Amino acid sequence: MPPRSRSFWIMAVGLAVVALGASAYGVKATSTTAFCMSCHEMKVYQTELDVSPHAKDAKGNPIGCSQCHIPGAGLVRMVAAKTYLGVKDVWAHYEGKGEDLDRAAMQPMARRFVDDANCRACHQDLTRNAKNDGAVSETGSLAHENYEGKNGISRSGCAGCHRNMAHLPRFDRHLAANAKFAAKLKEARP
Amino acid sequence: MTPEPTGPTPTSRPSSILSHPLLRNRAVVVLAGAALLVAAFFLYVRLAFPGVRCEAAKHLDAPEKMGDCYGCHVKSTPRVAQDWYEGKHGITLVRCQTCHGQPDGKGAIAFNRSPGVEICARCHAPSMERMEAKFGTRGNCSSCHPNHQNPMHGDAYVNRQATTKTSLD
Repeated sequence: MPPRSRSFWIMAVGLAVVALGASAYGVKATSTTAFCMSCHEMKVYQTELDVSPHAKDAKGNPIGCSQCHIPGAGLVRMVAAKTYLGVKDVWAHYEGKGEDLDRAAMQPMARRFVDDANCRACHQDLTRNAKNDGAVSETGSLAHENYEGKNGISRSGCAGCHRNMAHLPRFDRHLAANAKFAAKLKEARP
Repeated sequence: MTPEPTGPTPTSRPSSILSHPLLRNRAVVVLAGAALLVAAFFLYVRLAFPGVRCEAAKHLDAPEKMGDCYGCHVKSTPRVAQDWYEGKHGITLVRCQTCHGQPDGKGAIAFNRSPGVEICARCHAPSMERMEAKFGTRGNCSSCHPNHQNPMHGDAYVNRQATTKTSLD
């Protein structure tokens, strides 16, 4: 093959730059809450989030979907998760049937993709309680020592133990720990 | 003017990419490479997002603790231990290994994290049959009846009033 001409390389580099720029824009645009909410089946999660303990962060800003559900800890990790979950969501939207939207079946996978790093971005100190206005309870401190490996080692990440922090499906509403969340949800969506 | 071709040798182009040897090899390589990339992607997702962080502590490393699950679990899983302790199964001393089996694999129950319906049925079969007949069931008991969380006196725990009394009279 004859050596490529200079204008070929200029066009190739230009095309690569455009492709990278478009990809970066695409990744950002598909990580916004508005984009998630563009599919109607996602609205229920927003309704639940708005009355959950995670509706707003410590500064009063509303918490977006991607803050929990998209790993922020590395480019490859983030793009891999977005691709995997995005393709699944598109498929479920167009081809999915009722049983594909079974929340009890979806919960384990959703928890798998909620990274501990995303939780720790706000909850840095595990010896403080959730609102950071006091020490964590005795139960909590024992459980966190287990998470950190000081008394045994837990299999689960943050989302494995701290469930229903933002979303509350019907089958979890009777649990005593979710009573306040369930009451608020009933008001919001009678 | 070139003479019309005659004879058996065809001079037309190969009809598909697969019959042209050089292009076929390239097509195969590209397809194999794409398949490899897709496989690598799925493998990466499986490894980077494991469902569990690591295997829990090896229970068999402390054989002297074998019969006393609660002794460690009251510290390592305090919430579950407390729920069990205050619930019906704790008050009636249905011990951990009755539903969860034993880590050394002995006994009739296979060591498990989430006991299935057949384990509930070992004690509760009559009630389960009545439940199925009257209200139907959902395939797993714990979606309505959380295993560790039934207080013995039902609503007494839920509706208990706050009090500062320190004696019964």
